[in-house]
Amino acid sequence: MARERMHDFLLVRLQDTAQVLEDYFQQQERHLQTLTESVSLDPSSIRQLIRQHPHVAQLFVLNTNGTLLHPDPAAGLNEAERRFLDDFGDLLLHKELLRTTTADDEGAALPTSGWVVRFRGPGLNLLYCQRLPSGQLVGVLLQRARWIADLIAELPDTSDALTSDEDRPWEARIRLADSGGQPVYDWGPLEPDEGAAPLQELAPHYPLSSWRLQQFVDHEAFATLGSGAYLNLISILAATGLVLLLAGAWFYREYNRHVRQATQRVSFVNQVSHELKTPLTNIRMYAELLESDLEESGDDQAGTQRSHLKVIVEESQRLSRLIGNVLTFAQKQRGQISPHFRPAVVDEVIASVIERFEPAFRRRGLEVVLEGSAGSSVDVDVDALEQILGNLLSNVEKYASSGKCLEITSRQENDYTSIVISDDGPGIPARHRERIFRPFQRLSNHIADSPGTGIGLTIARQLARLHGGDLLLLPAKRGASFEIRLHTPKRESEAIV
Amino acid sequence: MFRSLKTVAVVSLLALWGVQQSAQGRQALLDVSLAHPTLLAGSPQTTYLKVGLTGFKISSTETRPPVNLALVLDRSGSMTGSKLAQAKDAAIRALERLGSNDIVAVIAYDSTVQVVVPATKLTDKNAVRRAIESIQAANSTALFAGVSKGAAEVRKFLDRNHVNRVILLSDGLANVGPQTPSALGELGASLMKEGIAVTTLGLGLDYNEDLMVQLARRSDGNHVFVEQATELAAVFNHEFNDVLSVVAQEITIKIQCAPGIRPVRLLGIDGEINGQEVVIQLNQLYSEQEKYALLEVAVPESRAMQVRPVAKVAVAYANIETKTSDRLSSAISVHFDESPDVIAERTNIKVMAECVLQVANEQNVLAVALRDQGKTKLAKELLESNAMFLINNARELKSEELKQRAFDNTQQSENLDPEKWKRTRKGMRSQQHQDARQQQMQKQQPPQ
Repeated sequence: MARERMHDFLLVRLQDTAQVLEDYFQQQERHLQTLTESVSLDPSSIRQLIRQHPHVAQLFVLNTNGTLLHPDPAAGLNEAERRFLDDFGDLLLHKELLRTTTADDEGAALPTSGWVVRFRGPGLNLLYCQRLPSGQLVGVLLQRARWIADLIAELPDTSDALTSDEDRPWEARIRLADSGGQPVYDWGPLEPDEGAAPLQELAPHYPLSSWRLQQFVDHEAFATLGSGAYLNLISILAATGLVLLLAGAWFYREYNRHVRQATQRVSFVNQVSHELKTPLTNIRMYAELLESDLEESGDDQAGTQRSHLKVIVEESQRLSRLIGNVLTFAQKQRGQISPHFRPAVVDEVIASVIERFEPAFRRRGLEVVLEGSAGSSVDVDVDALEQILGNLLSNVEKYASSGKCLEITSRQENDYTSIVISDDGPGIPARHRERIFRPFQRLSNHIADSPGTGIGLTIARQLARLHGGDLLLLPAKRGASFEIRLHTPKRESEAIV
Repeated sequence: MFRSLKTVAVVSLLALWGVQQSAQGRQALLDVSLAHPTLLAGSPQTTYLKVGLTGFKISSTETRPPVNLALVLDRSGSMTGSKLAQAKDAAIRALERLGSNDIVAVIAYDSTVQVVVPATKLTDKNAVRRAIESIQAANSTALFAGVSKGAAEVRKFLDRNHVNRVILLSDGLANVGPQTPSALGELGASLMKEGIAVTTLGLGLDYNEDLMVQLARRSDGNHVFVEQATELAAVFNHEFNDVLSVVAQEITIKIQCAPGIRPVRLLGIDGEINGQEVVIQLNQLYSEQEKYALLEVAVPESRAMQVRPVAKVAVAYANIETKTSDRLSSAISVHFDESPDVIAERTNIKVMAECVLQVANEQNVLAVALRDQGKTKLAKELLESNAMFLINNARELKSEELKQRAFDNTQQSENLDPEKWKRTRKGMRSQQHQDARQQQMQKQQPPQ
């Protein structure tokens, strides 16, 4: 069971990778189509384009009757053009070129385009051909080293997330191999033995279909994946042959499956989240750069641009929160989490979190009322509190936006702080009161109306408990009402004042 | 008393104003000249046309352009131990010279690639330092992929007003992915079109110098043969001096030969000859350094006292200080005379010395090819005759540089034995690259 599921999971990953390659060539195709349609066909413009365009190794033009317009040997060739004709001259005379670039025989007069694949020199070469409305055919030889470098840039690297020492059966090596089976680019933490056979192999889409994507796994680890416990169970069952036990086994297996699935989901999400952090850092960095650019420019449009930028920042904060949750959850699973206390004012933390959600709430017509009486400086893990509040408010945003009002009250007694968050949305049915704190539980199964990972409340509660408190769902007449209780000892100095 | 003080103040104000004026209008210096400004009348002959471009001096008052850099480190098994430690150390020390406006990415590769630090503004130097320190040695070498990822990181912040560069440090061969010198050269050529230069630092005696040189040459980057890891700190320092003293980028030189004048070939720097037009591209020009192209031209038979136009030269480049696209142009003609004495007397010895250097460099390349084919004796003879050619010209043209090269060729001719060849070849390849592209890494730190 597990092995098959893992097999599927790995295959999906390989297919996703093939998709990355296909996307790249589609993007190149669009790009080259614009380029070939807009280039002036005089030699000096063509040469200028080749000098400037990082992807173009050479560009040729065939007349309607198939004769070569550029590069024209009669008009004098430069060295690169001479080399091109030496290598690809026969191709230009080939009828197949025209056939390949013509979608169907009847449509020969229409402008058609496509990839042409040729093996020359070090291997596969790619040409993009486009028939112009004039009947002329423009072809571009792509710089081989460049498109390979681009594919490498598009594909993942062997990142930190993948090299941790946890035992993960899907840790693998993925390889892009050329037509001769030679590795072009490898990634993933697993170091396969020399000459090891890949577990899976698939051919990318045209024009790269003679290449292969291969996935190598640790065969031993993969073999143990299977269903050891399950087999044991079956042998016991066979011995006793009791229907009751069969039923018990069924429940046991289902339970096991759930546990396994959940662990896999967690580790998988954890791994993905690590990988998400890099692009997110980039997004935020770009946003910051843009912000500083806008400050410098001081032009009139800056207002709109700044508001667009605000959206980017807001969204990246949201993503940060999601990723933070996943990572916290995974850390909790490994028991690697401990609170970091520092002096802060709880009401100020609440206000700052509300401020972050303010634009989103305003869009949904939701009013926030804060009655804060936690104004003294106490020892608190600000990051954890922000994460708890963020998760709760994000739930309000997602599930209770039908409501009009969100009430937040805070108070402090002895060494404890209590924050109550009440909305007037649809609320939570009594039978689900405890379930909502379990991981991956979402009350709504409509994916569209509840985006998220389903671990927000789990994490919020775990963090509250680590903080010597708890997160509780309070009985409420309408909407949902949560209470955050935290152990927040007063600062020594404050206590004296 | 007061009066004289005032005068001083006015004078210093004027001086300040003068500095600013000159800073605004500063351009690269274009020098178009002929090896023989006067040719012998009555017969067709060839001479050399020089197009030289010198970067203006970077001044201390202005802010330099941001650097957008990817550091690509080989961490394959052979780097284990002191080599990797020295490399990391040198890299960290060099990064100290960058500021918070600069962008840095760090990539490490073995059989796979790890983007250790994605392109980031250098606001947190400690984080970058920690990341570099964490790099551990592993097995084989995916050099092509390492450079590809490095270039992709630079591309994230690609800007023509940044100094965009990949620095590759490797002590080994490329054995995963594309691994021929021509594949790496092609990649270099493509990156140059985007304004990204790749500097290649070859460490020890086991790297593939052909591959490293091709990559640097086609992208107009530097190449250095670093025999000992202890030299790395100095090499990184020189490289950063260069990076911090770029004054112009994306340079295109167009030479349009006059009717009747035939462009034969370029010496040293690569270019494109399209009929009468010759196009040369350079990635960058450094403060107070000259880069030149030498074009051999065939001149038809002419009468004495005749003046014949040879070529028009147009140069375009991005001025990194003024952030403008500058254009320079010039034209040159050749005179004819019947007296060989007059011709000899008018010879431009500086240009001649540069031509001799490039011709001797071509011979040096040939010597490597011969030695590669196992024709050691022929290679030795060629290097010896090359040394003679150089020493004769050094005397005649009063060139210290040629004298040095004569000495180098002699040394090389004595070190062709199998046990010495590996080292000699690396030295020759890096020298050839440096001469062809006139690489003189700055020994002085640019003013800050």
